Order: sequence, then C-alpha cells, then structure tokens
Amino acid sequence: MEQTTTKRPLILVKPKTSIRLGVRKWNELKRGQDIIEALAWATVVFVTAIFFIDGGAKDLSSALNITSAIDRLTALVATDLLLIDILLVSRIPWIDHYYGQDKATVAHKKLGKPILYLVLAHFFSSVLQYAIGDGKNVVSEFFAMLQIQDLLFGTFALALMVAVVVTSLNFARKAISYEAWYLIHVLSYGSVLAAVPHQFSTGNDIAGKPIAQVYWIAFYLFVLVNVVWYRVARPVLRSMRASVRVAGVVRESSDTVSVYVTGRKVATLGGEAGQFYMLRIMTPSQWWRPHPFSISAAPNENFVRFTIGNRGDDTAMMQHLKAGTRVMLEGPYGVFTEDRRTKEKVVLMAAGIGIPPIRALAESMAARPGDVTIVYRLRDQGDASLLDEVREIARRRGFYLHILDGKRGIGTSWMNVDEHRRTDRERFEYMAPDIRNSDVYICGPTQWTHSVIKTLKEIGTEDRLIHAEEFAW
Amino acid sequence: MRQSTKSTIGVITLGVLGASWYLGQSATAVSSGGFAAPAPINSSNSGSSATSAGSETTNPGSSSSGSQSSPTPSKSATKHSTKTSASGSSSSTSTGSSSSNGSDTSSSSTNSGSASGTTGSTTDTTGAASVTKSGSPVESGFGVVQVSVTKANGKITNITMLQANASHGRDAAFPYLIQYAVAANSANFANLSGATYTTNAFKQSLESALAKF
Repeated sequence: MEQTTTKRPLILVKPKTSIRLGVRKWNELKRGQDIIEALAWATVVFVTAIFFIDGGAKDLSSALNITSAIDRLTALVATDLLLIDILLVSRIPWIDHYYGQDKATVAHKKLGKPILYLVLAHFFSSVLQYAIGDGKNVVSEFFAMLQIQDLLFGTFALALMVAVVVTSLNFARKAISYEAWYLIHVLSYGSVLAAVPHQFSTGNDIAGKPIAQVYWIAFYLFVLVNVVWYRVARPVLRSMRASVRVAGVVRESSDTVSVYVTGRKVATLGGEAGQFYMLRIMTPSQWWRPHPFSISAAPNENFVRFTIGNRGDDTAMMQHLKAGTRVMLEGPYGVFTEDRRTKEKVVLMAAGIGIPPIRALAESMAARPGDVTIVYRLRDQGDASLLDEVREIARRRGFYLHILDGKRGIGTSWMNVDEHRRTDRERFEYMAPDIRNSDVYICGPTQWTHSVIKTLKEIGTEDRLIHAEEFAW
Repeated sequence: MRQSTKSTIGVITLGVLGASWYLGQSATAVSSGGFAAPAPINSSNSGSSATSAGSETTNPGSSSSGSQSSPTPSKSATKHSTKTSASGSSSSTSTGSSSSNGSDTSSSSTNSGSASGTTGSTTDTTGAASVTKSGSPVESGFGVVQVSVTKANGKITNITMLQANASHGRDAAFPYLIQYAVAANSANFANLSGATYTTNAFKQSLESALAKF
C-alpha cells in the first residue's frame, strides 16, 4: 500500500432504496427509552423497598438506629447508581441505539456527583454509627475500623472515587493533562472493585439475604460482562479480525486530511452513514488515546474514511500519518443516522469540520431528487474540505446545495454576511421551504449548532425532527 | 422519559415504597448496633418457642422443658452487663448455654459474652460422660473470641465463651452463634449477617476445640 497523494476518483455507494418513515418509528424509540429508564429507576426502588421490608427504617428512635439506617440506605442506592453509571459508558449497543454515546456520556457525567455524595454520606454515617455504638470518638473509631481489611479497602475505594470525580470537574479537567485524567479515571474500576469485599462481608443487606444476594451478584456480573465484552474484548477482536491499517492520507484543505483505513475484512465492520468510530493509532505513544471521528464516506467494502481537521492537539499529528500504520477501530457508534429519520424531506447542515457525517449521509440516504437540501457553512470555497465531493453528490443525486461562505453575519447570525440584510430565519425558510416538515441533521461547532437549533425553534420545527451530534468527550 | 410514563412510574414508586415501609414496620429483623438479628431457628436440639426481639418476658424455669428462650439483642447502645450462666442445664436435650437463668427477666442481660471467665463449669449429670475442651483464641478484628465446648454422646451440649470480645455491638451475636452451633452440632452453619468477622472467629475457635475431641 503506497501513500496516496492524488485524489481518487469519486466512487459513491449505491444509496439506500427504502427507509421506514413516520411518527410511529419515533414513538417506538420513545417507548424503548421509557422502558430502559423505568428499569434503571426500578433497580433503585427495588433496593430501597427491600431495605424497608427488612425493617431497615423500622425503629428510628435512637441516633444509633438513624445513622445505621442512613448508612445502609445510602450505600445501597449509591452502589446501584454506580453500576448504572458504569453501564452508561460501557458502549453497550442497545444504549447506543436508544440514546447515542454522546447522550449516555452526558448522563454518566451528571450522575457522578450525586453518587459521590451518597457514598460520602454512607462513609460518615457509618463511622458515626460505630462511634456511637462503641462510645468512642469519631476519629479513633475510624482508625479502629481501618484495622479491618475490607473496610480499609472500602476507604481506599472512597479515596479513589473522590479523586475520579474531582479530576472530572470542569475546572480541574482544564488544569490537568488528558493523560493524568485518563489514568485516574481508569482507576475508578479499581475503586468499584475495592469496595466489593466490604459490601459482601460486612453489609447487613447482602450477606444471608438470598434475594439481595442474587440481585447484587447478578447486577455486578451483568455490568462486568458488559464492560469486558463491549469495551474491551469486542473492539479488540473485531479490529484484529479486520486487521485495519492506514492505507493513505489525502489532503483535503490546508488544515484537513482524509485518512483511508483498510483491512482484510473491513466490510464486516458494518455501520451506517453518520456514525463514528473511536480511532486509536497503534503507536507506542498513541495507542491508549482513542479519538472519536465520524466516517466521511458511507460504509463500503473497501475502506473506512475519516476526515480530520487540525485542531492543534493530537489531530495535528494525524495530519501526517504514514501509510501502513496500524490502527484500532471501536464502533461504529452513534444515532446521527437515517435510522432517526421520520420525514421524506431532509435538510443536512454542516459547518466547517462538521462536514464528514453530512457528506456520508448525503451519499447513502434514501431520497428522490429534490428531497434533500444541504447547507454547508464555510470560510473559503477554495480551501474547504470535501466541498467538491458534496457538490458532486448533490449534482448526481439532484439535491439542493447551499454554500454559505465568507465572513460570519452580524450579531448572533450563524450564516454568512447577507447583502440583502435578511434575518437567518428568512434566509433559512427561503433555502429550505419545507423546513417545518423536514428532518434536520446538524453537525458543526457547539455554538453554531445551538444557534441553528434556536432558529429552527423560532420557525417551529418539532424537537423530534432535530438531530444534532453532541460531542461530550 | 415521556411525561405520562413519568407520572405512572412516580405513582408506582410511591406505592411500592409505601407498601414496603408498611411491611417493614412488622418485620422481625431489627437492625441494632450494626447487625441484623436473624429469625429464630427451630430444630430438635434447640427449643421451639423463641421470644421475639425486644420482648421483656422470658420463661422462668423452662430450661428443663427443652424450650429455650431466644437470646434477644438489646436495642440500646449501651454496653451490656456481663452475666454468667454457670448453672447450665441438666437435661441432655436442652441446649442450655445461651438461655438465661430462669429467674432473670431483664432482656438486656441475656446477651453479650454471657460466660466470660467461667471455664468448663457445665457438667452433664445424665448418663454419658461429658467432656469439655477449650478452643484457641481468635482475633476477629472486633476483638478476641475463644470458646469452650462441652460434648456428650458425640453431641455438643454446651458452649461457653471464654473470651467474648466484640465491639460495635457485635457482642450481641454470641448467643445466636452458640445456638446455631449447638443446633448444627458443628461449626458448619450459616454466617450471621452483619457479624461475619465475629462469626468467622467464633467458628475458628469452635473448630479448634472440636478438633481436640
């Protein structure tokens, strides 16, 4: 495989010929989400109910009993939520299908702090409870408890958990390097494991209670199996089977390149236009740092293509990848796909390096000429990535293409400067007359995406028709 | 989650939690001082009638009838006064060891290291020779535990605590452990939840004693 330096002739996949549309598809999706959320909630209700049935909150007459009840209940709920929190980032296909990795990651972040608070409440009430029971002061009681090995592990687990949450807070996340954050975050698995012994040996609510025992062991195993399989084993196995390498790097603009990845069985990777992979460059310094990239060409039998903009971080290095470099692909993930489409008409919107998934969707969407409108916001037509390809696709498939190039418009405008001084809304409705009755796919910088959504809301597009990929990594 | 689903789930949640709370009020298990008292066990060895936790009544003079009052862990956080049950039982069917002396009616005095210091004071007066052996002292993490076992006709007839140290209210576990061991006639019985370390130390000491027979 030699490094490609010239552009290949544009070969497009055959677009899909049919797609299921209609509001019923949306309702099914919502029903699925409701079931998942109800199940997650049910686990919390279940552990609380079992605690009550056991008489955990029967007698709250003394400080000892109150601290004991708080101690046990916070531990149960925290452990339950912690397992759910791990599931959210274990890249389980059905979570991806119903929520997308981005929304799951957002939920994972949100859940982190409440869990820590519960665990802290468990810790303090537990020390306090024993101190009351023993008639000792809290500090000496704490050191006495550390004599017990499992409780020592539990305390260690708590310390790790504090480290994980604190380093993930926004201000701290900015202050420390990605490497440090990553290492500490990997330790959170250690934190979970270190806490297990004391739950089963000293826990009032597990040992000797068959229902609780079955529940917790089953839940732990379920999470363990999912993490090991979907986060580790499956990506490794699939990558090994496909044995993917960089086949070539093509310059698309002054600051973007397309990276072509091929392998023996690259076709088996599957996936859909609009999805992304976690890409790992398998070099000694990079292998442990996965980066999410959308595919910039619809899945095909020959290659997986990413179009990567230089943002000054690791993406700078990726501008100069050598052909033959081993890579590992995890995925594909994401719900920025045609699977979420419910209308005949579609508006595809990209700004800058948001173009890759839009380009892939345009290539493979089921559509008749005129069904799809593409809006591409860019600075300079002479230096825009994939612009020629998008033009070619629009020409061949009979899609409308609006290129908004040049300087940004005044105020909060997400479009370019308009010589007629029209508002974004007026121009938008002019470009896409069916906008109220179309699925809108938006990919671009966060600020831009939000501005577009704001205009869409003004126009009156329903939430379910707005599809935007949120990068939460 | 859709609004209608949310409301439904909310109502169901309240119902379930309310019902479980209600059920919990009549639960026999009481969390006290850190470990949950187990349900009284019934076997041919130990008596059938067991008073519920927290009850103030015991059965005076019932030791010969084969029934045994269940030890009742105190709900109070104060240290229990150590009480020796040296009189033991005369009947070979009685498990004796953990039952209080008939005359005593204070529930809080029935537990906690019931026999520290009384070595081998129990003798079986009926027929077969009974032998008493001491186990080795074992550190549980909550304190040192050491038992003394009396056997007659291959059956454990009595267990006394030579050392019954267990902080954090774990000392309330000993009467149960004695009861379990006598019922199982070995150290092979289910752990007492919430007092696992104490249970393990008890079993270890018991096994070392049984090995001497």
